[in-house]
Amino acid sequence: MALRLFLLSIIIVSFFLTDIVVKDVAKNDSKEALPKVSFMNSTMYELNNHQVEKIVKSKQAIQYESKDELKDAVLILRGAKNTTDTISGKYMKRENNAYEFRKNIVFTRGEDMQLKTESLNYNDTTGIVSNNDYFVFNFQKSLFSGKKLYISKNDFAISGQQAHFVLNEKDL
Amino acid sequence: MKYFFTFLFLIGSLCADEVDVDIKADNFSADKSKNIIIFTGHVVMIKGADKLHCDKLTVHTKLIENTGKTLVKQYHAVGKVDMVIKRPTTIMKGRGDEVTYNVDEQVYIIVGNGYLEDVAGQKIIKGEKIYLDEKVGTTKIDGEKNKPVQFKLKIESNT
Repeated sequence: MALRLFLLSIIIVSFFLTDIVVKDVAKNDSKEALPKVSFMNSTMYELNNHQVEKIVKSKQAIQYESKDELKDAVLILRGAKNTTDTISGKYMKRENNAYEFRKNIVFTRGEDMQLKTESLNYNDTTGIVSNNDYFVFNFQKSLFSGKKLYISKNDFAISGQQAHFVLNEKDL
Repeated sequence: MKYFFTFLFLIGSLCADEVDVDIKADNFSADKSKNIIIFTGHVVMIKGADKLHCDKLTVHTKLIENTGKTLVKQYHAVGKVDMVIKRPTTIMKGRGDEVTYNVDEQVYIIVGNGYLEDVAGQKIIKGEKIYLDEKVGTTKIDGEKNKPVQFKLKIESNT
């Protein structure tokens, strides 16, 4: 009797389990987790027809299937008008068109402009720069600090919290 | 990052003279397409000896097309507005529910529980609506039915 019940229960359970789809999560994860290329203490150059457009220095650069990660990195971006922007930070990630910067982020343009913060997100598709941390922006003798920075390139909107501006007329 | 510059120029229109402007607020937002800057929550604006405290400050700006410069058109302060304006011969202290300053006309309009004090001239004005025309140097006061205009002069006693 007990054997019959056991066999019957196996049949019933197996009937319900036939509809359950088992996803190959582990396989996908491992594929994503495996870096395609990685560099240690590397310097990469990106050239256009006229000049070196971008220099990426990092202690560790890892390229995955759909994202790039940089650790202790410095990005040097050269603009068309001979401007040089530098972004340095402990961790940077690019995934599709979204950029993520974390810890000790320092953005400088020339000697006059500097932005310091602990996190910064930039989405190239939406044109939105945002963060949730405090930031300090210096431009010559002027200062602009606060937290939760939001800049929209497309509608020219800027907002933030706990704002403090010290504006020197000569800088403008 | 050029949007920081855009924003700085928009904000920079607040300091037309060569004096540092110090602004603190809980929140701020600027919309260049609408030529508007809004500061809300514990707003403190200090420009030289001039001071402004309020709950919300809206700055309306205008773009001068030939030069590309942005200038302030109007300041509109709302909520427990308290201001100190230093002038060459006196200090003006003002309070009210709302204060509007039209830059071109150089006119202050204090609305709601208006109070204006000329410290050096020892004059105090109270009214529902006070117009202070800095260009002409005149003051106009509107009262309300239940709140007549009050004008006080501090006269020194010889006794």
